[in-house]
Amino acid sequence: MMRLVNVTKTYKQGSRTVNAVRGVDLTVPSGEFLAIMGPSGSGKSTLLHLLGALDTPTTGDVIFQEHHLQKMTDRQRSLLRRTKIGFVFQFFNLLPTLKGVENVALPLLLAGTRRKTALEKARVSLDRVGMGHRADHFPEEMSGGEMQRIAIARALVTEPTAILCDEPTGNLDSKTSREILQLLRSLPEEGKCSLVMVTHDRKAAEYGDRLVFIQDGVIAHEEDLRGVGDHLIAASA
Amino acid sequence: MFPLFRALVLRYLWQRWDRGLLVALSISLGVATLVSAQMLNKCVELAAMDSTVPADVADLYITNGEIGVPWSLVEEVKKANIPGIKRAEPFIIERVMLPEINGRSGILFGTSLTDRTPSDEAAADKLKISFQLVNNPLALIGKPVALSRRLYEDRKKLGKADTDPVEVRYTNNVLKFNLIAVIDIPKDSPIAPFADSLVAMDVKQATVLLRHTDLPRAEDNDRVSRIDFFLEPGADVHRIMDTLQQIAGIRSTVRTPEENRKSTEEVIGGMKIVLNMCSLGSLIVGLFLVYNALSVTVAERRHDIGVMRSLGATRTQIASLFAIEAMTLGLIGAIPGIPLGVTLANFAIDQFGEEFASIFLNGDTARPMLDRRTAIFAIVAGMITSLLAALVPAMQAASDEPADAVRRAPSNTGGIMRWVHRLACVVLIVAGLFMVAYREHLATHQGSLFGMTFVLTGLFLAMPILVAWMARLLIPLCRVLLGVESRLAADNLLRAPGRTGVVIGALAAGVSLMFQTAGVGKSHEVPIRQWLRQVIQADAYVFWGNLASANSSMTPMDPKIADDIRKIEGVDRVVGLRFYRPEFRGTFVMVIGIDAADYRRALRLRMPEGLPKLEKFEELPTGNFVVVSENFAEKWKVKEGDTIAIPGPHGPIDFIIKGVGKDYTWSQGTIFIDRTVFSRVFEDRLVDAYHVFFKLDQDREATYERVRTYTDEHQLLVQNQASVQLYLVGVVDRLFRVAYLQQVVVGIVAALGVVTALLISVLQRRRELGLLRAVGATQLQIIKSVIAEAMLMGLLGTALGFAMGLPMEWYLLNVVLLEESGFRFDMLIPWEQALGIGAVAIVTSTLAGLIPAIHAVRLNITEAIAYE
Ligand SMILES: Nc1ncnc2c1ncn2[C@@H]1O[C@H](COP(=O)(O)OP(=O)(O)O)[C@@H](O)[C@H]1O
Ligand SMILES: [Mg+2]
Repeated sequence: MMRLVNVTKTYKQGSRTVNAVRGVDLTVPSGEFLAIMGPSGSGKSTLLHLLGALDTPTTGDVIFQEHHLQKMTDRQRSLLRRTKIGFVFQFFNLLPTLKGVENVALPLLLAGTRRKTALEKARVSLDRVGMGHRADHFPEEMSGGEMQRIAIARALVTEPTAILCDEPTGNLDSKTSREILQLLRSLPEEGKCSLVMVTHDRKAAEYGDRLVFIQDGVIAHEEDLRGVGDHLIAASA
Repeated sequence: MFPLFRALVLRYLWQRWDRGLLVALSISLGVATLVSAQMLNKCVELAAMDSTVPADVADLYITNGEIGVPWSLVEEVKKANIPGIKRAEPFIIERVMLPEINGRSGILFGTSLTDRTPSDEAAADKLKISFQLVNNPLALIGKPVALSRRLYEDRKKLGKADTDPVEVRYTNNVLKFNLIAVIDIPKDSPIAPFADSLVAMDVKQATVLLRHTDLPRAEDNDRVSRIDFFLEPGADVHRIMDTLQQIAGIRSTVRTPEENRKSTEEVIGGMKIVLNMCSLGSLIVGLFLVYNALSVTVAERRHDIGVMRSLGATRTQIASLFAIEAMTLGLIGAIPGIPLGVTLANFAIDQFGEEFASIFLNGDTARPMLDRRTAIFAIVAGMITSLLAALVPAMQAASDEPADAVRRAPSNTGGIMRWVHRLACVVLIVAGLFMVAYREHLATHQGSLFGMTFVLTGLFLAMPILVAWMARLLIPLCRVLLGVESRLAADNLLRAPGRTGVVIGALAAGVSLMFQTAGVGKSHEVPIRQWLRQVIQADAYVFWGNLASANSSMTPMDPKIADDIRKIEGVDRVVGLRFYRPEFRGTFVMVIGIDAADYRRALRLRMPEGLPKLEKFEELPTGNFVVVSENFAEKWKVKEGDTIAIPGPHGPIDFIIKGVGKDYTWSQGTIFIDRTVFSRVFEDRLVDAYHVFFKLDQDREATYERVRTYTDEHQLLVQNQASVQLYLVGVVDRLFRVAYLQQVVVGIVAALGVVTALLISVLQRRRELGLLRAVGATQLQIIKSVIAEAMLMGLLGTALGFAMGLPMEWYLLNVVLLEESGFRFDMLIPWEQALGIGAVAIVTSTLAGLIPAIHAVRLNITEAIAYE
């Protein structure tokens, strides 16, 4: 379970200050697929980064399971990201110098897992996203959809309790997008993990259980989507 | 950690090998100069020590410089039977010639070969040598001599049997000895440098060979180089020293081995410091370049670092990855730097083979050697340099907020760093100036040289700030004068002074060092050449050995030769010179015994003007009078009318200074004494070189031929004025060639820096260049802009280099070198060389701009601007 309690985030850019997030309360229970929508610059990415312990709030409380993130040291937050959180970005963010399987194994290698074990686990994770055959290719040899699958495999490899996706289909064509969304949809069911996805696309959001609209750094409104997206899921099944 | 390292660092370096190569090359060059300086230092130090204190195994010494210790003192000391002294052993070392082994030179050791007792074995053990007796019954009759294995083999190859007598020559004395043994000298022996040339005989026999005076008291004619004392274990060294000094009185000094080495160190100390500073300098330049290159590699991977951080990498993990990367590059660079350094050192020594051989007893065998300590030191220095350079970028990478890094927001670190930077510059410059100002209170050389290093490092660090100022001044100018490409380039300079500042700084450092060397060179060369033209006026020069040794006391001749030459038809005057390097106030000065009146008259006849102090030479024969060189007066703070004391055979001798004149013979100062006075007070009649002046109204070529006939008959050498001039000018030239070599290395490091910085510039301007292309800039325009930036950096660096080089030249001439040698030179500006250096610097940086320019046009536009 993740919670934001009256969270704000302010950026200082020289003399200008940007209030990217202005008082947000949000709870994401375990096993939920939450979609976040909003116009560009409304603070979605910032919110996601706060949830994922990539950043700390200016005021307010971020609680990840029982951990108060702002009370933790940078090192503790790093370890938390390493073990409990998986990120998927719009631009995939694979390391170009590593093969697919090595990219997936990276979080395990960071944690000091033996290389052989890490690569084995990475292959299992790749199989899970249907990318076993691309394990030994470099990112630049792959299509966008393939890279995103690799990125998802990387997010899954540590068996995290939360997967955070920032516009995961923003750079993909519609067919590939559907495949990726299918894949994401299947994740919360399998484990006890929750999934938060930022998106522009109403269609993509409908794969979620719940939708939150953000505008100017605050939550504008919420929708319960259970049942709404069933036809999408069924259509591709 | 290793899998991570392999995955991230090695892969990156593999794909972006050009960055790694630049870092490694910078380190290589820095390490190479370090290694060569260390090797040269060690080589010169060893050679100097082996010449001044050869076979340094005794516990105490009695010495008296080159003049030596009278034999009578040996007997007195032995008679005194001082408790605690196990053995007192007179020792002779001198360069001799071996006529029957192709006339090659040998090093004569005179020791008490014959009265060795079992208790003496300790000394032989310390020398680690062993004797192998040869089958020669004649040796039993007397005059035994032992040769080193290599001399023996060479002699055998020439068809000499063991029973053939061994001829040894010193001046005109040629004596025959009987071979008794062959000496094996292992590599680790303290006398290993003499393994090629050792001739050992009994000390008493050696004194006979070297005898060249006929003083009324026969015992005064025999002298030894020193007396060695081997003490009983636990003996009271200080009491023994006091007792010995009482016996020796003012005739000689008693010294411990450490004290003995000290005055030698004083002479070579200046050179060692200069060499060390040079290598330190190139390491510092290397440090900045590595810093620069590593900053790029960090900047390039900032996003990757962000991704890793989002996957849970800790700061420590990130920082240590970069630290290990830097050390790996340091290691990769240091390893080829070592052989490169060895090559440099050998090149430098090769330039000075003959001079080296003439200054040092074992000079012809002294080679720069790489020992394990130097190699390890160099590798560690290379790794630490690149680690230091990586410190800031690694810390920056680690401290970046991961959220900023993944979304490519500008980094927030820097505010404090800027102030730390400014503070560091100010502190360095102020500390350096203080050291220079208070150099009198610091150890010799330290204030002046370290002060300069501090100031220069501070200026170098401040370069980004200076560049920002200069760019601000230049930009309006560029706006008015130049096209859009150069304007963009100038804007870019202003926007990123930190990056470009390092390059311009490197360039300025290179240019200023080269300029300053050229300037110091010219300021020396012009007056020295002029002086050489004035003093090298004789028509013929007679000597033996070679031209280099003719200017030292190594290969003396009999004084009777002068009478013979004077009788040759057409010869007007014969001026004999004898060189003597006594200890003076803790270092060695040069005493030249010269036929002063003859010299003045001969010179005046050919040169009515010039060298005004030459007139004073007329007074020298009338008493204990000297003329000293200007640098002697400057260095030792003496003037006309003062009295100086020089160690003589029976104690210090006082001389009154009659004049101070121009002379560039010796960096620690020169003293001229009339040769008649010299031979009387120093009891030394030998002559090292004869300047022969011909009658001007006769056929001088015919006279020269007659002189040559004489010298051929007497196994002497003769050279005419032109070839001596040529030779001496060559010595000066070679000296500066070595200095230039070091500057060229700095120049190459600076050029590398320009390439790196330009490459970085393109990487950092990737987005901007992509946008320019997107809005319609042609490839040519992009190339122009990148090259314009390179040229601008070249111009700024060269201008700054000249601006820094001028005061550096002044400082070196008027502070550092004046302090070291007392030579006062007018500052000359090396216009021609400056033009050349400037052209090379600007062309290099422009050409260096081509590589990144090509990089830039190959840029994929969509990729470059794709990110949010
Ligand atoms: N590192 C930063 N520094 C300054 N402003 C930032 C930074 N990151 C985001 N912002 C600003 O915060 C606001 C919200 O950004 P973001 O969360 O990325 O919005 P979204 O993802 O909804 O498009 C924007 O106005 C953006 O410009
Ligand atoms: Mg966003």
